Amino acid sequence: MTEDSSSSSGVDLARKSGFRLRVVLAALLLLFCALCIVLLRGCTNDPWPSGFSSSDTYFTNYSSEFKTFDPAVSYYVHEGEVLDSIVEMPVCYDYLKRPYELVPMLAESVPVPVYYGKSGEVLTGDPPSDAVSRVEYLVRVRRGIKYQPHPCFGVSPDGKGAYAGVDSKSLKAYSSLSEFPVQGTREMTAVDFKVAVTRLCDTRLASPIYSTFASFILGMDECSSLIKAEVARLEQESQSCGIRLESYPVVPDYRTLPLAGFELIDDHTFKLVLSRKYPQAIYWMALHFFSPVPFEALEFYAEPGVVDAGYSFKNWPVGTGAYMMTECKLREGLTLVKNPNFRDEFYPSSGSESDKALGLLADSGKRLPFIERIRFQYERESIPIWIKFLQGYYDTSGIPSDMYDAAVTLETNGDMGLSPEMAAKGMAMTRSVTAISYYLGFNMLDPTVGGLTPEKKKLRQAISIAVDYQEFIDVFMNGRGVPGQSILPPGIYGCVEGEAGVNPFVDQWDAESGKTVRQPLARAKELMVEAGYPNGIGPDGKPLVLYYDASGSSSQSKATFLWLREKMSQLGIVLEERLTDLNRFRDKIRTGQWQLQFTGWVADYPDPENFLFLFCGENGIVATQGRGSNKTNYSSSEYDKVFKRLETMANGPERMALIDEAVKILQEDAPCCWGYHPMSLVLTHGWLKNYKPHHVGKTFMKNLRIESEARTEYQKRENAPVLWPGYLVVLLVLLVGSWRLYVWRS
Amino acid sequence: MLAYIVRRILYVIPTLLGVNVLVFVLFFLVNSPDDMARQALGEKNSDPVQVERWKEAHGYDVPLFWNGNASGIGRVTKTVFFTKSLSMMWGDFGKSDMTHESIGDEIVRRALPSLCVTAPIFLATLLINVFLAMLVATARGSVTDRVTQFACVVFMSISTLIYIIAGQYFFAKLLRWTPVSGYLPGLDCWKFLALPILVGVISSLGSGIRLYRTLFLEEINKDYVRTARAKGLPEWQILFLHVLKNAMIPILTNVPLQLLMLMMGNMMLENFFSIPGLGGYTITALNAQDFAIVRSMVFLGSFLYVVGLLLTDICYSLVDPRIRLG
Repeated sequence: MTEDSSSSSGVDLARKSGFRLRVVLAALLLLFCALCIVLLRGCTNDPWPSGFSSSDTYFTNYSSEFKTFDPAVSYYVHEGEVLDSIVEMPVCYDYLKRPYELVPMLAESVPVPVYYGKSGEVLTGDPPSDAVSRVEYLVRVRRGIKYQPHPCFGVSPDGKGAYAGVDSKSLKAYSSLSEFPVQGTREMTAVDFKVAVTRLCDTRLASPIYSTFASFILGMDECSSLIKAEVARLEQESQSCGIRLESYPVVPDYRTLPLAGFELIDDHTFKLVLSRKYPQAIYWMALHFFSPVPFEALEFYAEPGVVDAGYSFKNWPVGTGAYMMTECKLREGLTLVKNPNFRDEFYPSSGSESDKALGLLADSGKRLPFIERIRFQYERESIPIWIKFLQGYYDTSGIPSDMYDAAVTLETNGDMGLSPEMAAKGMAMTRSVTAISYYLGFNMLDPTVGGLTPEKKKLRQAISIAVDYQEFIDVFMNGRGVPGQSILPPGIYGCVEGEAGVNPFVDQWDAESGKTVRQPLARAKELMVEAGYPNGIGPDGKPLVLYYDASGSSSQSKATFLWLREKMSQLGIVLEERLTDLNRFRDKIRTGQWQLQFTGWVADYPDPENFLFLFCGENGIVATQGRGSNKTNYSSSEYDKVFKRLETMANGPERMALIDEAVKILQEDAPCCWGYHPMSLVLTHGWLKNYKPHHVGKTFMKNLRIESEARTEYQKRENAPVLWPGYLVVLLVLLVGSWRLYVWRS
Repeated sequence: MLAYIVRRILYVIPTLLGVNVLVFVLFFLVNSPDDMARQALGEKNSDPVQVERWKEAHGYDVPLFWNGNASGIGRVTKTVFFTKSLSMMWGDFGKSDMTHESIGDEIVRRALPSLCVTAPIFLATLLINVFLAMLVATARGSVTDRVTQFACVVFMSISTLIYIIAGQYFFAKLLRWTPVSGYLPGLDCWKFLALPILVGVISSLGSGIRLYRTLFLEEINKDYVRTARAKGLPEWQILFLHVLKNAMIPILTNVPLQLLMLMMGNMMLENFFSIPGLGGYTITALNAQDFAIVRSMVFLGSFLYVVGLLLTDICYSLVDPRIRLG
């Protein structure tokens, strides 16, 4: 009896506890389903903060992180796109004109050089380099140009800087410099250029262009030593005050430190003095290294309170440009907004007929900038960028290799065109050849492939014929490139396109297709015979073995090597790969311990000198113990003579003839198998206006215009969430869950 | 117990010192300061003058271990090892070689986004794995068990990358429920975190269920379970109140070690979903060859691993009173 009652009370207890559990589970199930429905209703794939997508904002992205926006240090293209929207230079490139043409920006006019002879007399015309002992550029900067609003210009009632001695705690309440309560501005003056140029000499900044500038601006090395001494003195003072130097670096007064190459004439005029004739100096004035730096900004960013609050000049540049930084998270994203103090600047009113046809002149004469805000978003992977572009959340995009077939179709004439699917979405595709040359270099110091004897030249020419870069472009780059005829890329002065520009030693003109094609392989085999390697067999009776030196072993580089080996085998040459890590590879380049390597050069400025100097004998990387850029170690007295003449000459028929001569020498000597010039393919949405790629200048953002309403409409159309699968899943969960609970009860 | 914890903490110091020396030697054997300078400056600007200037600007212009030119304690402190590596022992991670930003500040700032991704993944994965593994374990040998095991093997065989791309394509492109990638601080972050969390959970299911199923199978056949069943206890009570408690020790062996993953972030998820966490920070540093950050993250990882081991031991004693420490 006792046993029975305890057993039945145990069962009751179990039933009650089971019932309670079922109730709890049923409630949880309902709650879960309700939560799912609420979440589904709130779904959106809009990656931007509320209201951003429909605003007048240009959305773009970057996949390599930004390192610095300090104009003395920044040297990467993607950094330049941001920085050059904030700061301005004495001159810049015309947005529409091709070939690239310099126009005044902060300067009243494009400065012209004045040459002085050895006895100080002014030399007229275009004097030879050796007659010139001094060059002066007189730069008159425009009056009334004001800096962006910035706390560094803020003044307290007692006349001192508003943030002198500020406590970091009071600044940490703000998330951006633009939120600081006291802002100010002032007129830009010539002294600010003095600060900018003198700062380049500060060893602590390790400015990447110091060596280049020091080679032509007078007195930079001396100035560098002076700054070093001044910094040591200031550091000693700081240390005696107990200031931690690693956290709060001292700032020497760059305004007063003497630099022989920079003469201040008055508030709006300065003179840049060069130690030698170097006409390309004007192109450097179009780079942000020459943008004015207000000394107040350096003082502001040196304030311990400002440093502790996390602000620095390298992240928050100050300038006179069309935009100013309002958010800076280097590994997340940046936001620029219109500079309210931006001077009167207007959209260019002259361009080519094709510009007109593309509607690029529709905004002629309108005040710049057009767009209120620019958002740079850090995106490391190409697929998310592509999807967001299709969804209308980015305004432009490149074409990832995986998506090439979806975006591009081949037209009947073999050209690339936009796929009908993309065209139907209102997109446009812009194609342009970049100012970059990639090539397969031969080490001219190598006993097998180097040297200038006729046999060696023929060996290199034969290899150049066999290595067909049009095929490489088709196989590895989806056709996005142009085979090189010389080191000069299309668009650079001196590059001859069409039949006249054909490399006669390697290529030939195909009149039918109107394109350059490689000479037949039989010609390469003939050259091999003349070089002493019939069918690739050397005088010793063994096959010629060459070595391809490379760093890294990605699948792409492996595939490239296999392709090269297959091409060489057509001539009977055995190609072997020598892989090393990047550091050892660089050592091999510096010491000349290599045979073949694939390399390239990106233009600093649109002048042939910037490419042809890569083959000047005195720039040989081995000869200069690593200082030169002539990686192939090519050295030809004939070429050097021609190069030295054209190097500093003004563009004109005489220079053109010399460039032709230099190119012909290089084509015959073949220190490289001229590779290709990559083509940039950019897709833009229909609402983005005035887009024209510029491969040298980076000041283009102010010219862009967005039709935000069209974008919003597209975004709404393309991004309405598909909710029924979600509801279906919720319903299934509800049904299955209920059934399980019911079965359990039973 | 307290004595044990103190002793273990004291062990941590020489262990970390060893890790510190090892990391330094490995990094600087592979990459000398000259190499670092050349990598930072790029092909165009790495002439010897620029290399020296870069080293000077970044504090690599002193000897690695012993500075003969300095005097007194400076012979040790004015070296690359002391300023760039040993200082990590007291939490000074120094500055990034590329951006000059404080690495310590960046780690603190990025820990939260990482935790926002990894903590829900960790909790959800643990709960789902335990729950499903337990259900499967009770149905051992049945069709459900075999199907689940097969599904687990399939899940384990698929690369995380496939889950990520498929997730982005299906949920962000086709269904348009979430953004493809990105992150916003504050409450807006949920819409960015939902997809990486879902992908993270799904990609961890296969291995987790298989592991926990094995643990539960061991427990489920023990005498105390048979006794509980004989007493008429409901199956859910047996599973969740008795089996689970006894299976906790092996589960706990695995769980505290996840601290490393929790804090260091999930590199692949953060990379593909552009979440500004520590995993993405490490990947970015590796790509940019910013060895100061990579060194710091390796050291931090080692530190968290050691702390994880310590926590595991403490948890053992809490869960199983038979285990006595000290």
